[in-house]
Amino acid sequence: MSIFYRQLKSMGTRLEFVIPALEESAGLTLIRAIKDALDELVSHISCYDRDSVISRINRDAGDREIEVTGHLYNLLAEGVRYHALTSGYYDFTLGGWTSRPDLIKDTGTRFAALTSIPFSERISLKDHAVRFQQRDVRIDPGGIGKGMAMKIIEKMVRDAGISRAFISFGGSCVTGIGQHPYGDEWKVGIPHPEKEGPILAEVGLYDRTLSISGNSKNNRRKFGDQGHILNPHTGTFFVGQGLLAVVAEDPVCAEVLSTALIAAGPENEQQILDHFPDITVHRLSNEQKN
Amino acid sequence: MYMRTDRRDFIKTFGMLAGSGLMVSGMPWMQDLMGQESARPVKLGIIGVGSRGLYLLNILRTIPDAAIVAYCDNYEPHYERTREMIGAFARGYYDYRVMLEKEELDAVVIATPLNEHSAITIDALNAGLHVFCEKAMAQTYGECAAMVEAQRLNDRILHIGHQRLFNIRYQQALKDIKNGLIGPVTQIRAYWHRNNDWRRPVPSPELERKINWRLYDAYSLGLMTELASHQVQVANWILNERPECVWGAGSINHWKDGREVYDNVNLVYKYPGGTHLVYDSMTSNKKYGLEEQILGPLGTMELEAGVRYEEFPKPASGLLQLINHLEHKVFDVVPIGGPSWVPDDPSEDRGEYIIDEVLESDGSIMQMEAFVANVRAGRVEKWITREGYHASIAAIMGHEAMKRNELVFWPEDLMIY
Repeated sequence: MSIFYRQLKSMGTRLEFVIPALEESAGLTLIRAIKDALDELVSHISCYDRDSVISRINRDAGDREIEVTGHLYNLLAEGVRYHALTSGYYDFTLGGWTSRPDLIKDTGTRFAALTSIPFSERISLKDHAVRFQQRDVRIDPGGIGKGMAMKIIEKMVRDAGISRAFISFGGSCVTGIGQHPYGDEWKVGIPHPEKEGPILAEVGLYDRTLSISGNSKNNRRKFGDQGHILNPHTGTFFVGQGLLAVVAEDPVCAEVLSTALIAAGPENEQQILDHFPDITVHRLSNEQKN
Repeated sequence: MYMRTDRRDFIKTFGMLAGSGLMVSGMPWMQDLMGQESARPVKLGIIGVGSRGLYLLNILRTIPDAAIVAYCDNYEPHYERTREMIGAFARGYYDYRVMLEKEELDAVVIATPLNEHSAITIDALNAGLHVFCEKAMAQTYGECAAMVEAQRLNDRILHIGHQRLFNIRYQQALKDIKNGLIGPVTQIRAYWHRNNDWRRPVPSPELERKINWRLYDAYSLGLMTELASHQVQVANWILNERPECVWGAGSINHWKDGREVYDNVNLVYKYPGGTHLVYDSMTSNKKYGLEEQILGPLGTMELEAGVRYEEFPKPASGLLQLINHLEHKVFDVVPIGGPSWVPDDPSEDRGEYIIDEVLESDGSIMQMEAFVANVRAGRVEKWITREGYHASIAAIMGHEAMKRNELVFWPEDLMIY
């Protein structure tokens, strides 16, 4: 059986495809189309691109209403929805502080001021127009962006008539479409983040996406021991060293929850999970299977 | 097929990929290409419309700035085929000299047998025309030098058809190598393997040498000028040097059908500093295809495949393990999301792509675009001529080394360009 494999870079991450029984030429056509679609998505939602639509919104939506359509509207609508479903632990309006633990010390007062305003009053999204009610609001789509990208990819793969595929977005967002050719699902082992050998958990992916978040060694190197995942309610960052893995049918859901559940902590987990009866969650400690 | 409708996208993509300072500085023609189309098209004549000439003709027809106003071929079926295609707007000739005399051209594109390149190119340059000539330049050192001399005296553009110079993947690889990605280049290995007799159908025995000119000494140096010259050009380009000397062996060991050129060749070119190009080409096995492998202490580049490998790879993706499972019909768990698996066997390392984009051209399209843009702008890019010159001299050196069974040095008295 021929196996099509390709990788491309998108959103600063390596995106890899393994598609059994797919002809090379058909695969290349598909990959090219996916690359175009992701480039289009990135041009809307990338906070790192000064010319992206979201960057323009972040610059101007504090002053006036900005029209939003297509990908970005979907993203904002999903962001608002997931904010409600995660009891506020997913909050994409705090982009000025996301992954910036160094800022909290100096700007804690502004952060407190912003988060004291109810979410629905911070951002207004209606009739395909967005307006920030507070100038410190900055949209950082975080996991939703990657989840939306995976959702687009998944649809394009299926639309191409492919019933089995395995797709990895940097190893932290992994989708299995259909069955493994020699088994009933795609079996993934989540490895110990810092040691070679131990597998902390195994999950099966049959039309499911696995998303993994946590404080890896690389994250700690970059952000220091205080971590980088923000608890929007307290302004503190997750300091643990474990991983959290979510398996869900919807890649956006998997991506959002893997971060939101870390921010929420085990004590607040259940109130979120009540909204998501079909997902599986694994909290994994670095101390396991050492 | 490269069509007008996707030409703009192709050029735009190429321009975006080439959008770094180093790459654009290596491709000044890009500026001309990205400019406005001219009100007056570049008037072109094409000389030699066999298979390669026809391919180039079809590319030129997609370039709005290029007007093919004349064609020439002294082989009737090729002439007729072209007349049917473009006879409505281009005049046909059997003799290129008549064409040069009668037509008011800006440039010619030459895709004749190798032994005719030199005379036609020199005549065209002396007529004040810009020239694109297929590789290799010519059959002898003297002919190559005379072509370069004519280019210099007339200050006209002379492109030699080494299309890898215009391939964005090669441009990126060159940039990566200059940036030290694989360390200093310590060896280049290149090969071109085919499994066919390299023959074209001959309608009548007296046409054998005219049609299958690649197989006879009077017209061609065989694998060296037809295939190796491309890859020697790549080695020269990557090393930014020309070879000091070459030794090698060639023979006919499979296609014993009356041909005169070798059907397999093996050579070692030595460059200043002791870097070698290890080269071979054959026509009786195609398993390994063609490749240029650039080797350094930190990594390897495979330019045809467009892949680079690190000598000390970071932990590889569990995806490679999954592929291995699928290839061996194994259903098992694969580790994803952490540094869990490092390939033991380097051959399992599938590497990283030099560029992410898939551009369906080996550089020929962009070279034709660049040639027309250069002509329009009157931009003489000496480096393109120099690359063709050095590659052709090196290919001839290799041929000499095999024929004489001697170590052959770069000809001391040859004009330096």
